[in-house]
Amino acid sequence: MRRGVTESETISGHQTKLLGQAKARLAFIAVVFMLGYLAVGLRLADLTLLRDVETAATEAGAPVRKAAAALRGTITDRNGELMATSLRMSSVYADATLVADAPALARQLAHILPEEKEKDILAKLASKRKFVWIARNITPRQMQAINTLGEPSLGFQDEQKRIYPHGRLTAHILGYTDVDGIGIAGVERAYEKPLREGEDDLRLAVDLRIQHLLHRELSYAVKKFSAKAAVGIVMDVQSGEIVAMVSLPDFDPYHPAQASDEQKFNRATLGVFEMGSTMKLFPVAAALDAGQASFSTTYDAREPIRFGRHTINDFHAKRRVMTLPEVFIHSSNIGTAKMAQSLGETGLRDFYKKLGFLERTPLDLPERGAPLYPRNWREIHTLTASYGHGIAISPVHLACATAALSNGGILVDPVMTLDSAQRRKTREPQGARVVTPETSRRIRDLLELVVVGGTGGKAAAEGYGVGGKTGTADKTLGKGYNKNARLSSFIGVFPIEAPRYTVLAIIDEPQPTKDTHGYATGGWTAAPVVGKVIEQMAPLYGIAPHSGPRRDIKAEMARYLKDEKEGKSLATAGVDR
Amino acid sequence: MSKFAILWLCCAMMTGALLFQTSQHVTDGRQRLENITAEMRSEEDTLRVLQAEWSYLNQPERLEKLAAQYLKLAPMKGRQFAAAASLPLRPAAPIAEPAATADTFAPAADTFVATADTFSDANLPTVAESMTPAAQAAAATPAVAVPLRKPAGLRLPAAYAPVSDISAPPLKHAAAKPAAPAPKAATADNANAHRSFFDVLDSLGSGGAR
Repeated sequence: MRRGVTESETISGHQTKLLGQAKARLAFIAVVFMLGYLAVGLRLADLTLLRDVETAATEAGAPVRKAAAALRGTITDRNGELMATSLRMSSVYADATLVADAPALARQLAHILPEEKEKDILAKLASKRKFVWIARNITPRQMQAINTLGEPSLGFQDEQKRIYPHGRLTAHILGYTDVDGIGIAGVERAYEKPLREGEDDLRLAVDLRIQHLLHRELSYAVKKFSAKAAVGIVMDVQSGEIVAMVSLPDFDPYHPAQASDEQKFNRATLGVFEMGSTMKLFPVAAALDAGQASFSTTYDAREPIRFGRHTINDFHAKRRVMTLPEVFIHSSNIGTAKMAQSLGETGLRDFYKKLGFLERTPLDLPERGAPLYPRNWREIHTLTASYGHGIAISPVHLACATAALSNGGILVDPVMTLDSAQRRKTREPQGARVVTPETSRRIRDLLELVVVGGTGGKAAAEGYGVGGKTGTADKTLGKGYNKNARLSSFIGVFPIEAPRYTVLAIIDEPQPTKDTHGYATGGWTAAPVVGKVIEQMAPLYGIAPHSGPRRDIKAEMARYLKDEKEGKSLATAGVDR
Repeated sequence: MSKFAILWLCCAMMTGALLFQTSQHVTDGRQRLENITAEMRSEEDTLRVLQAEWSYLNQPERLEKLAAQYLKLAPMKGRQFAAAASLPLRPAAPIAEPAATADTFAPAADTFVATADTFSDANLPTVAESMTPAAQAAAATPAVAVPLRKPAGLRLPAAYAPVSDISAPPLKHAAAKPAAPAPKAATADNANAHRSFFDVLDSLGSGGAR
């Protein structure tokens, strides 16, 4: 028994130990659960008794704003004027398998939707398809009317519709979107991602007021001279911002599919042209900058240049030795070609490369034309390219390069948007230096001379100092040049004392009129457009006209000008080749 | 032991009741949030429509037509600015101030106040070598806008009259801007010719229905 006692004692001792262990474990678990329930209870008390649901929801970061489905972003001009927006519209569809009386329903729908033909609707309703669009983007009024029909087979779906309140005026800048609202041209395409996300407004550098001025004056010129097309650009020479850009003919942005390719072609950025005499600005600048020439350098323009099969002649030959300013204002091809020759075989090509004429512009639009120039550059190309033949660049190229020559010598990238705050803060032009400030000053003198006493007289704006250069290029026709199809242009800069804007106008195939005495050159067709635009935009921008005595550029330059000494007027109509 | 159980039961019941109440509250809150979001969305849509319509009505071309039709104003010209220094000094004898000037020609009256230092700046040399637009803007300040056309029913101060170098032929309304219609052609139905924004919206409807 002793053994048994001992056993039982041992067992009971063992049991007690086990029980104690189990109890401790249970107690531990109970405490854990109690703490858990306590936490839930406290949180419950916190949510119900102590705090508002709204506050809790806000703290949790509930996506209150995100709930509204994002519409495509809006585009505004530099002053915040709306240029493009998206509106929510409804489209009506039918489940043709549920239609009971197709002809009756078709009649009712055709009554509500006058744009749709009853026959078409009937065909759709009788198609037995599960899903068929009846009409896209219906108005709220029509939606209400369809709702009251109480027809179970009809349904609505929300869609977005892109709205361009200014229609044609901004067509080439904004481009357009396809039926699914994806940008396929212009700014709509260039900024597809930010616009699709629709977070913020996209603010362009364009000023609608200036855009309208330019559009109006160009349209007038196109009509007056029965021209085929026209291009206009207004650019800020300091920041490279495109303030206005017009390409005519333009199109209705609501129906891009119905527009011809000719209408949809953005000549200002995608088109490349042989610009003609406006290009003479650049060999002159290159020669002055390289120290190859000064205002008193003379060029013998008595004989045409013969180079192989080519003969380079002047349009209104002076047949004499000319100084550099004379070569410029009389737009002598012979003189300019000799000036380019003095730069060496690739001197002019290198300068054109520096100005960006040999590649696409860095403009933030998808439509950017690649320049055309001889891959194998020989001396003859230097000669012809000096007066704008044998090299084709886009109007944006021309505006940028002119801005660079007039703003003190800095080549600024052209830009459509107004986003970069940095640009706005630093008013100094940002970019690569292409010519010295001294060359830029000389170029401004020459540009002013062309308007004050040369072929650009019609670009003069009352009260403002304008400088510029005319150009008239014969268009290529097959292998040769067509004397009767011209590209007349004028590139202006103002105020010439301290340039802020450059204004370019190009008229494609203008026909002479009685008013212009049979001329359809840049000085007669494009220069007035630039003059009128400057005259109207300067007061809008608060640019004060010059007051007090004005410097007489003609008198200052008289010693370089033979004609002035002889008392002849320089403003000989039609010299502007 | 049973006391303890009763206590727990009470606790559980209370918690359940609270939980139910909270979930109800949340459901209500969610419903309200949905309503408010829908309302906001609808307001935003309306806002967008109104903004689009406002921009449509502000088409520069339309405003130009309306201005030619209803206002006796024309675009500002460069010659309408004059430097303060080029203005004659006021005569010593007090002249009768026409009461109407202040209201009808407020901009002119405001800019006419020229301080001593703006006068000294006014003799600015025109050849500004500096390229900064800031300098340009500084040059712009002393210029004073001088009304050229005498508005109907408004007497101008005598001091304006003898200034000969800023007097220019009266502005012709449409001559300077080829696109603007002649004032007489602008009639009421001309203004109505501009389609309303909702006509435009309607015309977009079912444009791409397929």
